[in-house]
Amino acid sequence: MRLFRDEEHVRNAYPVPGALFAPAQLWQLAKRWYGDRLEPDWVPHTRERNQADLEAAGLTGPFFQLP
Amino acid sequence: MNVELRRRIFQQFAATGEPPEIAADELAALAREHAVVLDGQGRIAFANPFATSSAPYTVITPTRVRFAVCVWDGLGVAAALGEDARVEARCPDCHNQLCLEVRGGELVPTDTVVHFLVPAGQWYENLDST
Repeated sequence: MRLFRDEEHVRNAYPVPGALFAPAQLWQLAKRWYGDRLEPDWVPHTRERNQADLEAAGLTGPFFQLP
Repeated sequence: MNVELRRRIFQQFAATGEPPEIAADELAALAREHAVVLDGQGRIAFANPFATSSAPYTVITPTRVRFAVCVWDGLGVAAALGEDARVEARCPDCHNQLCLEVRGGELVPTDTVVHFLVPAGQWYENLDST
């Protein structure tokens, strides 16, 4: 889960496939996934909640299917 | 799972940039549950999204510097704190410094890209490499 200058730099570093997307999508995911982490009544999110957070950020398909 | 202990770890990371001192048996239990990852000395290396200062992503806010092991967690620290933040790291290919900025709850537009190597189905098998 790393930040790269651009797609060419990803291909240079990783000849194997993975998922490539915009930081704006990751920010949407980060807000949903971690936005409550410091709240006094925080509890771990369920798998269903996590999957919904991924989908809400546009991260869908088999690659983003949680176990 | 000891949720209260996990809350304490997050709060300490947020307040100081470093984890609290916790008994080894409690840490081992959290590690077994993938709630923390320990370093070679049995200390907390990271408790997502927070990490110790050896981590490659630096999160700079008006109040303090914190650290994260990946770009997702770097933005996660900013989201958890609810503060303006600058997430800095080096491109794994060219090693030039890259930066993401959060201002007023929004990510400043950027030409950089995010890459996930490991599919979500394998994220919890080895958090260190994920």
